[in-house]
Amino acid sequence: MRLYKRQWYIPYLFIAPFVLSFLIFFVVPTVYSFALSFAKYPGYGVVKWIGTKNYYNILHYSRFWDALGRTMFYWIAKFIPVTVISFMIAVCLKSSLLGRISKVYKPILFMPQVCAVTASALIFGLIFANQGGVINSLTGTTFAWTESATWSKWVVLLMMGWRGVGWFMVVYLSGLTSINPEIYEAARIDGANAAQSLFHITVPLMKQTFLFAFIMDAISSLRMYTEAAVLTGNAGGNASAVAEGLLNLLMTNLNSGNFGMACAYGWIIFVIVCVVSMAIFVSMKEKEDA
Amino acid sequence: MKMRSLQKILAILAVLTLTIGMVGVASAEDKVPLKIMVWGQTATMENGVKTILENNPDLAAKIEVEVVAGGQGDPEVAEKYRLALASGVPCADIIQLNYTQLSEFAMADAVLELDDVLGNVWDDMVDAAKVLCTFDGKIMAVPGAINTKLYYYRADIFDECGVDPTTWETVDDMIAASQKIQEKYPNCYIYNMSKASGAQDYGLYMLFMSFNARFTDDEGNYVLDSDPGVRKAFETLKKFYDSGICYDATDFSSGWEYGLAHGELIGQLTSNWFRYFVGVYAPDDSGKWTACEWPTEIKQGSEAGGSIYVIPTFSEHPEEAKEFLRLFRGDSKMAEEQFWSNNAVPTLKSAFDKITERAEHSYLIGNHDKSYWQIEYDCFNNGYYSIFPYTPKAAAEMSIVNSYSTKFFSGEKDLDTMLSELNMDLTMQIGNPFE
Repeated sequence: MRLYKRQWYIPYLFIAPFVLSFLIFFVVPTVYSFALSFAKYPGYGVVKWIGTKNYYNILHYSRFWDALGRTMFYWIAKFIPVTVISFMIAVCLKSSLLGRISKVYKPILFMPQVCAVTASALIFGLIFANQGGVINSLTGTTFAWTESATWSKWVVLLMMGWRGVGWFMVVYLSGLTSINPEIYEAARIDGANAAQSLFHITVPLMKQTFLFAFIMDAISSLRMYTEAAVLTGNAGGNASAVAEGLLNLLMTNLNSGNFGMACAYGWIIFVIVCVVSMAIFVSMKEKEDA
Repeated sequence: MKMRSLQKILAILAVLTLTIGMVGVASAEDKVPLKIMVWGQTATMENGVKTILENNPDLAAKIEVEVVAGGQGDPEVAEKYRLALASGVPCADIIQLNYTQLSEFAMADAVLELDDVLGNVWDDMVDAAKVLCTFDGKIMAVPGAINTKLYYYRADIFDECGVDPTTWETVDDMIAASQKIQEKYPNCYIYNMSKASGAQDYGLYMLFMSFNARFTDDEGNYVLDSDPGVRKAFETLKKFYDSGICYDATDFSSGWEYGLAHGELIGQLTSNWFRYFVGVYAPDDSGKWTACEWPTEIKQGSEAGGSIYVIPTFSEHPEEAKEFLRLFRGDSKMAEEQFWSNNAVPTLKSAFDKITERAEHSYLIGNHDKSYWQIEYDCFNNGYYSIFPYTPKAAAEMSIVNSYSTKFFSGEKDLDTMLSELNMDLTMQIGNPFE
């Protein structure tokens, strides 16, 4: 007992590396960026405090609202089709119908997730080029897929979806694996067909997995940057104004040396991600309780 | 015994290690390490360094040059510069910047004046280089690449159609010439602009300079809604856009590359850096492309000035950096050598006079008895070179201007509304760019 008292600090020593690195590399920069969001700061020299002006300017900037709307579009318009497709693929891969072939399909379907986003965006750029692009050449059209206000966001969305299917498939596969096969067996004995098993056993038991996937997708979609920047970017590397998301606006300010404004964008994105995640969590929880 | 032998061996090893270490330190101390930060590939600068050091053994014995890439483009280099200023940890002794960024760092007193580097050769420098080195009446930089306006075109097709772009006075002349070419080559275009986004980035700014446009007044208030130059630039570009002479592709897009490669885009109002790319995208058309000045009505100005080299105030070896830059851009013989080894167009008249007669470009041809290099060089001294008055917030401004340009060209907003809203957004998002 006396020994324990004398060595009270030992546990703290063990967790000290994590706590210290967490403080230095996370807490301090977070607090610093929050403070900078109330300042005008080019990255060096004098920090000029301007109160909530950065936030005021952002919230009164039409481009911010356009980007916010587009970001929401990228998230919501992508989630439903990607979830349906990847869930169906996961169910197929899990079933005994495909047998050993499923081992070949899994890595192939996951491949887009492994490919560098930049490389994927360049390939999509070639496919959707207005002059000599694959799609326009096949259809005989000259749509400015990656430049027009109407089409560019759909191309970005398509690329995000194409990349997302593999990731969702893996998540759903792991969810399907966790369901006890005895439940299916019991249902089969009771006369349930495949569709009934899917909708009355698999889907309800996958609710937590769907919730996890939905929240993770919301976070990643709200922080989308590279797809728009590379696919629709101009010579300066900024995403086109007709396709950019919120993070692209943040990066534009960062590249321009507007650190205060960039921090304010960062905190707004953080708040949006928190609100959206909480809303999803609460609504799913309420349904579960009901 | 064994133990003693082991101790001896260890002692010898320790002495050897110390000796080698000290020799190493001594030899490293002999030479001053000089770090040069550039963007993109380091090969060009490394070739330049090699040429300088090979021809100047005294300097080679004194300095050890390391060329590092600060990023893919100039914004990343500027970001590293800012980070070094904020942290107090030097990132390089010589930094390559775009002229657009000079005002930010010069106004923050973060670059050294370079009077003593270029002062001796000032009278020998081409006019454009003098403009490019100067900020607020002081020599703050050494010229890298001078970006002048040039119109590049397929000489074979133009000649066949009887069109001579060197005679174009106005934009209307250019539009008429395009129609003449399209009678024979309906799929060929002599200029490019995206139908969806209109003029963007440097394509827009080159026209701003044609009409001496300004974004701010002397107090730093944005005046785009009332500046006649800004208005005239947008009107002129809209004239191009509406005329139907433009190939529907933005520069460096996949469509643009396709147009060049397939002989559909046969002309381009651009800058002299185009020579680096035309041979890459249209390799089969060697000996067919040439260049001339822009139509008189819009030939004033440049494309963002060009690239420059500065010595940051945090440089640990400013004297050696100055000595290097003096040879790099302020020495006629070295300028000549660099042209032959690196295609670096000299910024000194004396150097250029020696090479023009002998030099031929490997891809581009000349016209009207001028070699390609002579055409480019003449633009350095034609009296039309000037640089847009970039503010320290140039990058942020360009992003906002681009977004409004799209709205104007797509027909979403008329010119008056667009300029008024653009001015309002610049004022709100940036405030006074000089503060």
